Amino acid sequence: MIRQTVFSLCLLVLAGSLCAQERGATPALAATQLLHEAGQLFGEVQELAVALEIARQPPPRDQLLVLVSLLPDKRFELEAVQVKIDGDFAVFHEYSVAEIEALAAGGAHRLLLKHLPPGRHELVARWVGKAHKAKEEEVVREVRWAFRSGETRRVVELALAQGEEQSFPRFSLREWH
Amino acid sequence: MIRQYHLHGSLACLLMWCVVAVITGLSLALPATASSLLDPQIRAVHFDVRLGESLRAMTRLQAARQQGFLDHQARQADLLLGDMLLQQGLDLSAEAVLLRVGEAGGEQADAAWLQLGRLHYRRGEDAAALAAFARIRGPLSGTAQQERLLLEGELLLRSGRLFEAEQRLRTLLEGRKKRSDWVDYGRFNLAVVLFRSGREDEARELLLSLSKQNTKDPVLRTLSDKANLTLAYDRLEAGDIDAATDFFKKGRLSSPVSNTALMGLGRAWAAQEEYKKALVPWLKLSKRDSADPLVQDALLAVPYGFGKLNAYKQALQYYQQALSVFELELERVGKVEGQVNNGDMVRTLATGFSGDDVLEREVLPALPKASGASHLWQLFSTHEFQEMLRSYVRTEQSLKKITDWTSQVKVDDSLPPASRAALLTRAATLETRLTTLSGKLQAHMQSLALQELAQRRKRIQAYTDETRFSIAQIYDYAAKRWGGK
Repeated sequence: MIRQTVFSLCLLVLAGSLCAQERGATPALAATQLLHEAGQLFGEVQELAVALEIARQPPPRDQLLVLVSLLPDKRFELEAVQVKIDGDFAVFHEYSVAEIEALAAGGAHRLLLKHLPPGRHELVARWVGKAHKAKEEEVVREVRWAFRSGETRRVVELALAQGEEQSFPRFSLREWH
Repeated sequence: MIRQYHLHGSLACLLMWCVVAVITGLSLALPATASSLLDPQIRAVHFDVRLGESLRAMTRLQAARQQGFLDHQARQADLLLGDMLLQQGLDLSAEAVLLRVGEAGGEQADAAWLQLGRLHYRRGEDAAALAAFARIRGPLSGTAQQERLLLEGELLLRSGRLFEAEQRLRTLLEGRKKRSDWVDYGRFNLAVVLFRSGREDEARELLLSLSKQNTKDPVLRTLSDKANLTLAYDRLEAGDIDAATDFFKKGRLSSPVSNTALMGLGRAWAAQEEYKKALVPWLKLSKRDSADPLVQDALLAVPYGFGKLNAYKQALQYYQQALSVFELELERVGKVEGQVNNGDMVRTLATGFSGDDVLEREVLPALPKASGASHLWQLFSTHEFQEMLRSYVRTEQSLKKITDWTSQVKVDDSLPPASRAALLTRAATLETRLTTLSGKLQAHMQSLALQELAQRRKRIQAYTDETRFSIAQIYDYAAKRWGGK
């Protein structure tokens, strides 16, 4: 009698406990609604972050955005990039190992976002680094670009690429439209 | 009759274990060869992500898209944005963006449909997930294709479309010589499909191949344990107790399914009237965490075994021990109810998340340290509860963000006054709504925990009553047999 009772109880309980795993599979309606509400609200928080980002930027037509990219090249080790606009120092950025790795993986560094008054300007970009075959000497390369602002947003890429059939990497400025 | 019902129930439950696919991170690695074709503003996102600035990168990308700066590479930008929104847990926004990419067609469409399929799969929206996968036109590359086949196979299995499920899983397994988690999961799931299709011999063969794996790989070891357990219950159902016992013994004692295996092994011996042998795994199991229902079962199975051996003194001793454990468990349940009611449980769980962990869908807070973890782990491990908890933590994080932004905007003279006022108004409204949401989420989690604890209390109370009854019966039997001696 005792045995029968306990064994039956064991079996029923075990079956129940094994199948209990299935119970939580379908979220209750209330939970679904609550999670939906949460998802919407988090989306709105992010929209506020975007609105804040846009509010802090200069008006699009007065913007100059400068980005830096590179394709890995053993001949030249990038250390820093400097940008002057109309002869005035605008930015100097020294690259860390992690940043060089991110660039080498195809990333682009957002170096400068500047508000420029309408009119003619000149940008001078300067790459600073080491050329390994040139006895570790510091190498500086410069590119100049004249442009007008106030009409449209200007986006330029300072690219360091392995030039085809060239003895040295190619330093270039490319405007994106 | 009861036994037969149970045995079917056990195997059926085990066959619910078609392995849940682990939806991992998203591929944000940009091939270097493609970089010069992409707008540098898109590549800047990759740069920031690699440096751990995902949120900033996503915000800038959204701002650029919103202002039309990337219209010339809209699909590429949106696919990346959709990925990032998913990573940041913003599923609703991600869905809208990815749908746009998918519907637009082109090279990016398949990747978008894959992401949408994963999103619906994770949310348990099976029909929508299958519909999204069906929109994929070409075969995807490498592991993406394996993942798609596994997920589709599982969804079709869940909806009872066994033939199609088998097709997908066989395609996944065909010609795969390299080890892959997806393929290993696929083998287990195919075994489940075959079991359910009534092709048990083929299913057993597959499970046996998993069972024989001699590896240190954690994924394979876990699959091997599950295969052994499934085979053990299958043999038990077929009445082949010796084979069942062998499979139970193959399982690791430290594996996640070891409690089930120990109980099953004891039952296999008991079915052979080998109660001395049955007592070994039951005694081992009875010494584990008594909050686990299987351990509570073992606490009753042990005196039952002794009773079968006519060792009534030991049976009585173990019933009394079980009674003490059950009474202690009732006290513990009461204590956990207190921790749930005063908010300690949610607070402890929330602080278990660190930093961006809340966005990692596979990361759970340190459950063993959380209040009531041993009583509520089954609840904590449900999708519903985890999503609630993540949302709660994110609500708190969002409130901190809003406070920071409000302070920044108030002192930012570069912002036009109208723009500043509009931002502050939006921030204040969101703060109020987030505070309300936080309260609702906490209340819902508490309610779920209290329901679970009430069920536990009821169950343990039933066990306690039954144990008292059995003790009384032993005393009664002894009195009748030996009188007052």
